[in-house]
Amino acid sequence: MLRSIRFCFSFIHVSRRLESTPATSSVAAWPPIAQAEFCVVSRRNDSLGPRARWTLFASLCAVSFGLALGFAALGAWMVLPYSAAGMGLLYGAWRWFERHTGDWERVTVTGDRVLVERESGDARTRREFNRCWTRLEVEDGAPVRASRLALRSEGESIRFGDALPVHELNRIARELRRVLARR
Amino acid sequence: MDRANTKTRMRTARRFAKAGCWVASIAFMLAADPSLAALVYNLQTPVTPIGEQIFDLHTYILWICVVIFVCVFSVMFYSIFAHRKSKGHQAAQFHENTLVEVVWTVIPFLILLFMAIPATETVLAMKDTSVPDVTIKVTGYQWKWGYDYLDEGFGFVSNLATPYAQIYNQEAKGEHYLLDVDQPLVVPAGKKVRVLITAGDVIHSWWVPAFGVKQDAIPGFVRDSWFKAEKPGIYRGQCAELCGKEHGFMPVVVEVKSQEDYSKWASEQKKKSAPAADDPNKVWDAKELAARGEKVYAANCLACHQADGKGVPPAFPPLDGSKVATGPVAAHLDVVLNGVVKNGQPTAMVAWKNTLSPTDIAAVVTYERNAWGNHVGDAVQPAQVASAKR
Amino acid sequence: MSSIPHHQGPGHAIDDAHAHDEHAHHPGGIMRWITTTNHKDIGTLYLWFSFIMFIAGGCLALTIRTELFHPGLQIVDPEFFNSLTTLHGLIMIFGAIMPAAVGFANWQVPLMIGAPDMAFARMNNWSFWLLPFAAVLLFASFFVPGGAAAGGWTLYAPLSVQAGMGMDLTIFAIHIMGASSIMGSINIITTILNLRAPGMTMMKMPLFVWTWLITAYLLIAVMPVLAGAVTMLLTDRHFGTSFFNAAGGGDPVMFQHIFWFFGHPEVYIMILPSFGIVSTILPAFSRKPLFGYASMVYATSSIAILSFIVWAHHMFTVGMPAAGQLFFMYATMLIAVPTGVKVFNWVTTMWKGSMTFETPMLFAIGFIFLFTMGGFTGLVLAITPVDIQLQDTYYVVAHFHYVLVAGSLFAFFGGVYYWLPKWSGRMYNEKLGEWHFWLTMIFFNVTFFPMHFLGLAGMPRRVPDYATQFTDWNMVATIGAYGFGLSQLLFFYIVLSCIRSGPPAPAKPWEGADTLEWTLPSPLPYHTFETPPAIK
Repeated sequence: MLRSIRFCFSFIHVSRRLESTPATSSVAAWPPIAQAEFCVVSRRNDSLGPRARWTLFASLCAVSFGLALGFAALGAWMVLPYSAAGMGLLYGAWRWFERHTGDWERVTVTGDRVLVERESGDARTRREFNRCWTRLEVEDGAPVRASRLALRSEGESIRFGDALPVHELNRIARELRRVLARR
Repeated sequence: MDRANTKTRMRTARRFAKAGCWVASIAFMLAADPSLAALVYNLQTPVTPIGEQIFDLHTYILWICVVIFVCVFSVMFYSIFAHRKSKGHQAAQFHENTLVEVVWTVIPFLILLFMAIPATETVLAMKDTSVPDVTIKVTGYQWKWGYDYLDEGFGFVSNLATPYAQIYNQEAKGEHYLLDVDQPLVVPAGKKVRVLITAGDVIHSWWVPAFGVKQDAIPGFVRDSWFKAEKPGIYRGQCAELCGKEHGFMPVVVEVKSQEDYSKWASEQKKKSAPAADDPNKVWDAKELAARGEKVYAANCLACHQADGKGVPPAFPPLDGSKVATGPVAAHLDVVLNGVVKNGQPTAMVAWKNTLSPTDIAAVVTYERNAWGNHVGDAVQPAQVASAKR
Repeated sequence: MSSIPHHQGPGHAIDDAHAHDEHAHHPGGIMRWITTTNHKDIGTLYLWFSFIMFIAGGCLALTIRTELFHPGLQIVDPEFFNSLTTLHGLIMIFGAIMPAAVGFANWQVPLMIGAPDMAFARMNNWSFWLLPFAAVLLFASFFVPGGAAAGGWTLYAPLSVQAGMGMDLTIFAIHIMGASSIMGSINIITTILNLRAPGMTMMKMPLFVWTWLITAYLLIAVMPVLAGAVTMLLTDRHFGTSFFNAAGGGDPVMFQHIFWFFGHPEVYIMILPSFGIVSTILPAFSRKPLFGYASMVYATSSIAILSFIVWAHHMFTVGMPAAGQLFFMYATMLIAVPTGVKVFNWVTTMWKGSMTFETPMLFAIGFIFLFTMGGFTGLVLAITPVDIQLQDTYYVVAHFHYVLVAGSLFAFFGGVYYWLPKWSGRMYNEKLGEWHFWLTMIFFNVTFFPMHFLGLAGMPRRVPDYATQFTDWNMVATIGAYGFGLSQLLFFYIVLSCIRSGPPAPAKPWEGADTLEWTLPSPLPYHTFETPPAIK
């Protein structure tokens, strides 16, 4: 199935990334791809990438400080603090964003197990459910945060899918529900 | 397509067509001879070479715009008529054509060149203030114009002459409503007049449409412009830069006289403005002073402090019963002579020492101290003012 | 992605969650709106806020027009009149046009690029909720001693140094709105650049997203300039500095340079998102792809770049050297090239299409027609000698209302009609929508077309009274203004009745629409999810 292949492709990408991190002891315990019936990796799509991001930041700094320094040279130095404040805010926002670009989540269905893993900033979580007892729910986090899909089993539930674009999320929800219902 | 739908679409189309005709007809009207209609809709008839250049430049650019407008929108409206779904037109799917893009980038560029060439000539001509025949310094104040004839050595202030009763609809409006002054700027016809423009308080803009001259008057800086009016007559304009409360009430009126009339007028002015006219040592009686002061007040103070002396607090404090107007003369004179400065910034109360003569200041201060509910009873003499000035 | 199964009558989005036994409580009432971080809620807030400001600013405008119906002073005194023109400008620019554009960005950008929400959801909430405070400050300034700011929206020194306390409130309001704009722009630029769905490359982004990307860039670049300008005004007023005081060694004209260095990019900040909306609507109703997508992107970018080198065309009358006047004249004329490319592309998009003329399309066509007229008067004003004659007259007033009302506002109306079915899940009344368009179109022209004549004939702007030869056109304009204002109540009615009781809208009510948001159900569920079927 075309879609599963694409999801697995993202999976390969992520697992490679994890291998390069020595602290990830659980990697060996992950089922090989071939055995996975369903596997989806959800990551924020960092569509710009750090290089372009900081190049753009540099260009904005150049323009903003260029203007401010120009005005300062003419005696109107009060533009400068506002340029600095604006660029500072932008820097802070993008640093925060960058810390979270590595976040990922993965849901894998293999045999009778459903595995949910997540890394956000430094925190990692990993849950395993019994496939027969697991179901998919919508968690409505409104209005203070975005909603997520949640897997629930035996009184425990774990959210995932924060960073998926809307249309992907719909598809994945449908597919995952089918896979879960298959057994 | 069902018929009702087609009908609505047709109606829509017709309405578009009507709107199009309407706009086009107005566009044509614009370029037509100004004498055809009583309504004003074009630039005023210019009387200076620069004014004429500007007039022609505008007509030229406008016609180019009209032609482009007609070309572009006839394509669009044709398309709206012909390429509609209700007529069963199938949509083509083309969406790119580099050649076309290049063509419609280059052609407008060329058209712009043809606009830029005459415009550049006019800009350079407008900037050429060299070798003037007459030089006049124009100073914008809140809210009147000061004119100083630098070559002749006299000057005066030009105030709105339209009575307040007309403005407040208590009287029928006169012929030159809001465009009338007590004393217009007078210039000779056919001579190059250079105006040095500055301001005493905030930014104003000295504008005579028929001359094609508009120059901001900037406090602390002197800018210049020039005109050469060919035809004797009276030409009217207004301050064109928002300068506060009475911005709409500080007209510019220029009277262009023939050279002989101008010379006669100038020599009269010189005589009149000679300080002897008001002997600074003359001792006036209180009644005389108050009567003259009322006139000075109406021309210079009334706009802010109001006819009833109640002002418009807090921007414009009342004089009726105020500490200044009923307190010591010295303090009162100081305010009038030197203005009020707050936090190092000049306020709306400007210094009058250079604008009004000692006699006028003595008169207006006497008036203020004895008008409305103020009954200080003293008469301030021009000599007192002259010594306070020092 | 094939069709997504959906249910859905309007208003069910929230109820769907009840099908499941576990979901967080969904705060109702005012708290929902105060605490929301959902891009759709915030988009809605922005749009309603801007509509309220539009009506408030419109009331100020109608007071102005009423005073100007006749020569003579009738209903307001000159100082208050100046406050009205000042606040009308500030409220319409910073309260109506800009927030409306941000509202559209909030709703549409994530949907169009397939992002789950805005990049910084909480900052998004803050950037909206700053605005009401700024609005309160502006309106409160009418009631402080000395009245509201009366120096024109451009706040030129030294007139605004003279003014009363209302000016200080205005300066604070501008600071707050500036902070809001900066945060909003950072959010939008980050969302567009970093949160595009896989496969959504830059050159596949809908043009609306492109125009907002460029707008956000401009905003981040120039907002500090405005903040600096008004701060210097404040210190000149109260702390004895002399940035703009000639007596203290400053230069009043420098304020204008700084202000317009912000102000001209600001003009494009207000119009570029509208270009984007029109570029989205036209192909949909022409059933034909946008012509010259790439050239549209380049044209928008070049307009943005040019906007940094044309500011002094607002100041041709301050008396700069001939070289300066010529440079700014040529640079300004150059803007006609990319703007022309845009108009040509739009017309070619319609050419050989299969057009229908629903309300969004009417507004888009109205936009092209009238915006182009505003463009032509802009070209006339670019010619320095002509500009010197027309500077600060009603001609300029007509010009910028043609580009900001018939430009930005018409595009926003079109955008609301276009996306309302998607946002609310209900259809608006098409007949009334068309009525709204025609009334707006006609009364707009009745109001503003005569102003060209007034300006040419020599009526200055910002005057509470005028010479008698200007009476006729002023009367026409005032009548038009009342018609225009009342027509907007019809708009309010149409939107309200659509939201409350319009018939359900299909997922894709417009045959030719092809951006990403139309693949989702209407209305968009609160979090843009499909309803999961019951789990066995």
